[in-house]
Parts: sequence; structure tokens; C-alpha cells
Amino acid sequence: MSQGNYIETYDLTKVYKNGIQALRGVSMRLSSRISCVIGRNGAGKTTLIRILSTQLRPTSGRALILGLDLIKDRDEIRKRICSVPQEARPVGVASPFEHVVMYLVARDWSVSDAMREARRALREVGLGDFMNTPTDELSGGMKRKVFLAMALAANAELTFLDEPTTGLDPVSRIETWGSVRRLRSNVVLTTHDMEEAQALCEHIVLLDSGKVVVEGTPEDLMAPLKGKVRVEGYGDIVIGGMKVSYMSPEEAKQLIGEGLKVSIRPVSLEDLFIVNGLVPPSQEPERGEEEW
Amino acid sequence: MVNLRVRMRFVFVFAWFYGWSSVKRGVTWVLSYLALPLATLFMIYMISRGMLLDYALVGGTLAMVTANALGALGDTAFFRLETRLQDLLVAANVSPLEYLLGIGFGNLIYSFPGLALFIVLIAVFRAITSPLGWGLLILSILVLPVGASGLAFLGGSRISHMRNSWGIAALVMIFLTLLPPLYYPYWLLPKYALYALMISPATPASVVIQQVMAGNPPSALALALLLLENLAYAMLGLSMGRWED
Repeated sequence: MSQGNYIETYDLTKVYKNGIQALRGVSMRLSSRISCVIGRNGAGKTTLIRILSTQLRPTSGRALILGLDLIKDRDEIRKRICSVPQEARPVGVASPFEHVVMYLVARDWSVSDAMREARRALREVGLGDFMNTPTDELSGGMKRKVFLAMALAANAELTFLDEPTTGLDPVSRIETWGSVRRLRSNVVLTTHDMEEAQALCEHIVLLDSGKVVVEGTPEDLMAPLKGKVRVEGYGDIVIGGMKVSYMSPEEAKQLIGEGLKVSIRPVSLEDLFIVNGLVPPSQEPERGEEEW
Repeated sequence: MVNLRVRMRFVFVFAWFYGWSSVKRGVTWVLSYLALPLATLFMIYMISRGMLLDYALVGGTLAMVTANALGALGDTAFFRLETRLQDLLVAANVSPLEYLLGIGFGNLIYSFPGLALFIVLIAVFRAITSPLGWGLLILSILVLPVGASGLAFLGGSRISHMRNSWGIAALVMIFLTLLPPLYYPYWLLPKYALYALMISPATPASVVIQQVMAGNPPSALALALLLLENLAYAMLGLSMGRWED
């Protein structure tokens, strides 16, 4: 493992039994405290995170997790990581406290240590008053916090969070971001929410159709668009029937001065998709199929 | 290769998480699983004018333990497809055997209120009087959840869509606990039907207990079948069930 990289992958591929090729040679290196894998639905984010967290075997390729071989050292990797699956939901009849204790004992903690740490972690994520409430009586945000408390208590070296805020209201989302920042481990999370990626991530991997399109720090990735604005209603790029272009604010104002009906918006991570020839997540049509 | 590592601490804590929380907060479920054996007991009592009461009491006990464990088919599918609990445990280095035993013991805890009621009724009505009969009943109560949980895990881990899981679980429960000779004497069945119904893990348990209830020694073959069949179902669940993809 190169110095500081907690994940290294080399040409990872995954072909499902039904022939769907979810990953097509993913190679990347992650070393930042919070790294994000972003992409549209079906880009391969969940497949990638399930492979990296040892839940799914790759078809080919190689990966090192914390310097350990993904296939040969699965058991050792599992002792050192924590993974919260996409759309994980607590079991309704069990309380947050029971969830966290069960999870910590699964990770080889003693029952007394697990109980003590569960109480501490649940208080830390704001569930102190609800730790003995059946989880089916909790709000969506609180249910999600049960898993964050598990991750917090587990104190693993590396935590995987697959779309941790999907389906949450804005306030719960921001609260969840706070909990993610409080994790002491390195974190790899997937999201198709660019605001979330912007708020949390120090390193971004943009995945599309099972391939890495670009990766780097948000600043590096946004460098080509530095000093530019997004102009909607003018340009060569067409997204969802709308023309889009990027230019300096002065040039954009000049267009308005010429009487063109355009909208001007600040650039964001969403524009990474557009400049790389992809449809951004906010513009993609509703899809019924399962995330790969 | 099947991972046979077992940490009993996790098994018991998972059983507490899964079984005790269901008893504590899911009283309606406890009542619902009790409803069928109690209703069947009532019907058999009425139809046989009390003649088959002993069979219905012992059969109800065995059926309840087996049905609750088989019902885990729906739960394991739910844990894998909906809550993603299985993924969480896979990545936490839990072995499939630990999970299966946790589910099995969890179901035993969950069955406890019903078991207590039926055991009291068996004692009150003196359906079983010999220590050997009681020993075989206790052995069955401990062994059946393991084999039935193996079958449940096998089914639940292979189901692709939740919409099928509860229906399949109900069918399996009826086929493996109502049809076999649990609530009625096994010797009423033609031999071929008895052999066919030995597919239920509860059938050999019922056969040996009924033999003892009739004052005969338990058949060594049926006793061996009780142990081997349940072990085989557990192994089948472990080797053919889907734990990690």
C-alpha cells in the first residue's frame, strides 16, 4: 500500500449473473479523511462500496483495503471496517440501544463494554432520550442516526456509508452530516447529492457506467470552471432540452445585455457531470431499476 | 466452504435482540402464533370428544416451535432485502452459523410464552407422564428451531423479492407443521404418507414422543432421524443459503 492510501483498487470489474456489467475496470486510490463516490443512479456506486466492504466479490481485478488484500484477508478487513448499507433500516421492534449493542458484540466487544459504548454513542448522535424506544416509533432521521451511532461506537479504522442521507428531510440531512464529521475513522461515502458531496468530501470520485470519469479534490475538479458561471439557455451543451454553457460573469452579463433570455447560476459540483459529458443527477429521469 | 465459527456471546445477544424484543414489544405477534395451535387444539378436542387432546397438546407444542422457526424465512428475507441487516452483519465478520443459531435461539425466546402455556397444559392434562417423554419433548424443543431455522435461512436467503416471502413462509409452515402427524396419531397415516411427511423436521419428533406416550420405547430410527434430519437441514441452510454475494 502506498503511504496513506487506505483504499487502492486495480481494474475492478463486476458482472452480475444476469449479464449486467456494473463495474468496468475501476482503479483509484483514496487517502482523504472523507472521500465520496458520486454518480447517478446505476453508476455502480453501491456495487463498488459493497465490494470494498467485503459484501460482494468482484469478477476480476484487485483491491487493497487498509493494506490488506480484499479476497485473501476478508476476515481481517472486516474487523477493521464498518459498513452501513444503502437504505439500511433498523428492525422495528428493537430499540436503538439493542441495535448498537448487538452490532458491537458482532464486532467482538464484550457485552458490558458494548452497553457502555452504545449509551455514549447514542447520546452523541442525539438519541439519548430515545435509546429504549422501539425504532418503528422513530422518525426517518432518527432511524438513520441509529446506524451512525453504530459506526461511531464501532470506532473502526474505515467506515463505509452508502447514501447515508437518501430520503431524509433537509434538517435530518444536515444533522447526519454533523454525525458523519464526528466519526473518528476515515470515511468513504456514496451519494448522488452534490450538496452533500460539497459539504463533506475532501476527495471525490465521479463514477459513471461503472467507470471512473474523474477523481480529485473538489478544488482540483472544479479548477477548469474557476471564475466561470453556468449560463442556462445558451450554448452548445444540451441537457434535458436546455442549452448550457460556461463563461465568465462578464461574458454572461453581456449576453443579457444583448437581450438573450438566459439564467445565470454559480457553478457547483453538479457541473462536473455536465463538463464531462454526463447528465447531472438532478436532471436524470426517474428510474425504477435497482441501484447497482 | 461453510464457515462454522461460532461465538456464543453473539448468538445469545442476537437472540435477545431478535427474540426478546419481539416478545417484549410484539404482543400481537405472540398472540397470532398462539392462535393456530390453540384453535386446532379446540377443534381436535371437539371433533374427537377429548380423545385426541394429548396429541393436540404435544403436537401444538412441536408445531409452534417449528412454525415460529420456519417463519424466520420471512424475517431473514426481510433482514436481507429490506433492512439490509444481513449486509451489516456480513461486513461485521459474523459467520452464517452464528446468524442461523441466533435466529434459531431468537425464535425459541419468541416462542417462550406459547411454550410455557402449552407445557402447563401438557402437565395439567397429563398428556406426558414419563420422564423419558418429557426429555424427548425438551430435546425436540431445542433441536427443532435449529433445523427449521436452517430451512428458513435457505429459503429466505434465496428469495429475490419481499412480495413472495411471507406467502412462501406461510405455505412452508402449513405444509411442514399442519399436514404431518403432530396433532394426530402417526399410525393413522398409511406408511407411504408417513415416510413422505418425514420431510418435516417435526415429524420424527412427534413420532418418538407419541411412541413414549403410548407406553412404548422410542424407535431408534426415528430418534436418529430427528437428530440427523435437523442437523442436515441446518447444514443445508449453511451450505446452500446465500450469506455473502
